[in-house]
Amino acid sequence: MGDHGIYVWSVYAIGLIFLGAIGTYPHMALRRLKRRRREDKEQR
Amino acid sequence: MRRFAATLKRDVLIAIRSGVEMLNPLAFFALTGVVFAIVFGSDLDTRQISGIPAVWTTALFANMLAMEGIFRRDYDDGTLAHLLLDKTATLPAICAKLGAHWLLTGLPIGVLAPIVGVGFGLPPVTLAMLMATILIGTPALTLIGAMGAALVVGLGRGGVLLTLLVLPLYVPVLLLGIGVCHQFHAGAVYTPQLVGLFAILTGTLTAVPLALGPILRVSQDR
Amino acid sequence: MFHRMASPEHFFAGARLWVFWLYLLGVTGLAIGSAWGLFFVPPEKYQGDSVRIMYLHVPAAHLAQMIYIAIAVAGAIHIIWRLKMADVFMAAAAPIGAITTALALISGIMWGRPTWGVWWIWDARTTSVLILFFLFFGLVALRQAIGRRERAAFAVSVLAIAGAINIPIIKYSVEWFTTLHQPASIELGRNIAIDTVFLLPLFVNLASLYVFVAGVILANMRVDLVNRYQTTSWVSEWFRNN
Repeated sequence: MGDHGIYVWSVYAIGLIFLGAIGTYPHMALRRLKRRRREDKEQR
Repeated sequence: MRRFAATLKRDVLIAIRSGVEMLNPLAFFALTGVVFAIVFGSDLDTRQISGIPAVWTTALFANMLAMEGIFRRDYDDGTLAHLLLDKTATLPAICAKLGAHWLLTGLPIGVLAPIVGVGFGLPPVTLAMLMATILIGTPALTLIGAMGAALVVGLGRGGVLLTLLVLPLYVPVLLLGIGVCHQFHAGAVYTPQLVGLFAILTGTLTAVPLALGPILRVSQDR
Repeated sequence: MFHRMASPEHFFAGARLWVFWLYLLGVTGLAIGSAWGLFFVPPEKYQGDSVRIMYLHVPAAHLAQMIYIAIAVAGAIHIIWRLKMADVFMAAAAPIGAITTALALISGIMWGRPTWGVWWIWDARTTSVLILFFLFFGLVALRQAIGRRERAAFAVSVLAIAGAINIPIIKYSVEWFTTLHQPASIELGRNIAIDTVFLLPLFVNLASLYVFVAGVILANMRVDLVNRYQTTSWVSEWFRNN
């Protein structure tokens, strides 16, 4: 891609990071909620 | 009407009796303006061109700093709850509070603006226009800012949050105000920007006082 | 169906399958569109290879505005009908909007440099998108600052509507500020007619990003629902089954 390669690739890398982050966050959050609930149960 | 006059008188009296506290936004405006005048150097052209946005932006910040306190005292001592209880009294009281706030900040800032503007070597006609646009713009800023202040009233550390909420909404007023002065200074047509400034003033003047009642009522739910 | 979906319990259960399919479709579409744009489209005559940034930039910028409009509409719905799900939507969509706007801004900066030789221009579009970012940020910050849920929902709705009125005004005021004041030196790609070859992957990515973001917002809403209704029996039951 010549001169422009660095700009193009960094944009797609940032896009992958951003979209990946917002895509995985809710699933991690649900899993964390489940784990916390389980730990609460075990303590009681 | 009686309610309006009573609240107006009360707010102005409270401010006057608080003494120097009333002058804080003005001192901020004058001081920051002077700092800008000093750092812009001695080239007259640069000073004039950057002087207009400097004075306008400083006026905007001074207004915003003063905004935080508009409902705080009344919220803390329960006067606000009292005003909101009687639904017929809410609107006149809110209008009076807005009016008093502008009389104590926007008006003196506008009057002071040409004096600060002298430091930038601006000619008298431009200074007059600067004063006029600030006097037209600050009521709109007060109205928009009051909405933000009503949203955050009673929250700890509301000041920074208020800046964050209100500044994006302030931008059009700032751009149009500076636009009028720049066009006028350059001898170009300035009516579109002036009309825009008036349009924002009329829009906020009609919408904000009506919206403030419900917003403040929700804030009472502690 | 809408009646059923307004109840948190039914929404939570029904959204699960939707999230799965929207994710699958969105991610596949984005992969296809991006690969197409990156490897199979010829370099553009004027912009060269940097035109490939468009396939991420334009969908992100478009989505950013649509998310904001959706939040403002949800705010109005919440104020008028007190619909709880509207508030759940606002809470879920605001951070997604902020990140999408950030992506649009960053990709715009990276596109500006190779094509026009400058990172940033203060024109109506760039300025309004930047302000949009701060509005999204304000929505998130305001909700976080207010402890009481009812008050937060109302305050965020008001701010969302005020911001929605503000955005077109900003566009006009910047246009009057810059065009009359200093002639615009660069027209942002407005005069360049784009060939269909370049547009097809753009449409794929645009549609896929819509789908993906819809899935993410739904997934966020599910998390928010579990948080809000922790004490109810249906949430406990869901925890027991998972």
